[in-house]
Amino acid sequence: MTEKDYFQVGAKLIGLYCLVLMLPVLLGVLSTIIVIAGNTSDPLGVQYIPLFASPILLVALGVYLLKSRAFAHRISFEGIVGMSNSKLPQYFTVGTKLYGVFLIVGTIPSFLTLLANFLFVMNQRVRYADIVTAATGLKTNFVPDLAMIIFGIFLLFKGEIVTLWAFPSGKE
Amino acid sequence: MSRKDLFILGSKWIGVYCLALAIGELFKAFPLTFTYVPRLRQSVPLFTLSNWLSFIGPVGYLTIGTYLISGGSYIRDFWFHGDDENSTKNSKDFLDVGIKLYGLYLIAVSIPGCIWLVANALIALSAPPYLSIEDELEGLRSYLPSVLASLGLGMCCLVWSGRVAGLAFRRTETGVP
Repeated sequence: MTEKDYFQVGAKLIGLYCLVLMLPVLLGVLSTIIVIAGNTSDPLGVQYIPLFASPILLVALGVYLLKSRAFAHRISFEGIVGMSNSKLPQYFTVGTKLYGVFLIVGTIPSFLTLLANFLFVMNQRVRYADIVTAATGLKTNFVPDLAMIIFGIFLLFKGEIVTLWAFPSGKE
Repeated sequence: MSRKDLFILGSKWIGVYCLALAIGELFKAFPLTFTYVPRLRQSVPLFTLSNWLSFIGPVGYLTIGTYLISGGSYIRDFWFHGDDENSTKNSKDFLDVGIKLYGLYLIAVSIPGCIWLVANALIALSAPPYLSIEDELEGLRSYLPSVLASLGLGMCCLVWSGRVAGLAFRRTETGVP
């Protein structure tokens, strides 16, 4: 098995995890949908977009990771110059890239929920909305999750940098 | 792949996990600290110091992550004394290394919490007498058992991994299905 094969198996398992994760997220959003459906006087605000996008995005990502063969081929596994013949660096790169995918997928629901909370308060037409968001931390609560997603993207596309750090010039 | 190789690979992945934790914790601590900096300048120095302690988590995870990714040679040499270069023969060997790595993970994740706990306890105990520290001490007392349990369990996993793996695969080895 090549490193791409290992990556493909891992990505498909994460796809399955994505679909499973969608269920609790969907159940969490369902109550909001019922409230909105029963209350026609309240217009559908921009704050609901991230909330509803969460399960849809998880299904889309899950199906894509589970079905697509192209994903593993799109992610490049650059040969790392100066590595020994040992398979350890290659295994490490595959694991790091898969952890990147897992980090992105796993952080999306909480990130979108916190973003929806922030937008909800900001869209209330009250005078002190910005003060409330700052005081309750709603303004910055989603930042750690955003940083984690960015770190996940970095690991997915540039995991080789961490491999070069972990295995400099073939030392194990 | 030898048991040592598996342990190296796993410990480096735990290092990457610690780096991700460090980034998350850093972005939690930054906004909080800098929102309250103007107010903290006017408060008791003890509170200022206590607030800066929120950076212990990210710094701790960053240090552990960096150490594990860039070698972790001390840990590796401590648990594998050169007699583990043989390739993993059976599931028992895999389980043995897996338990060791789980122990390492538990310890790596608990250490920043442990340092935070000790630092906060020292600050609370050195507080001026006019400040009430009962709530603070109560919080620390309730957090202490979980941190100590994680550290203890991690140490147990590292020390007795062979025995646990042996227990799990005893039947297979004796030929009983």
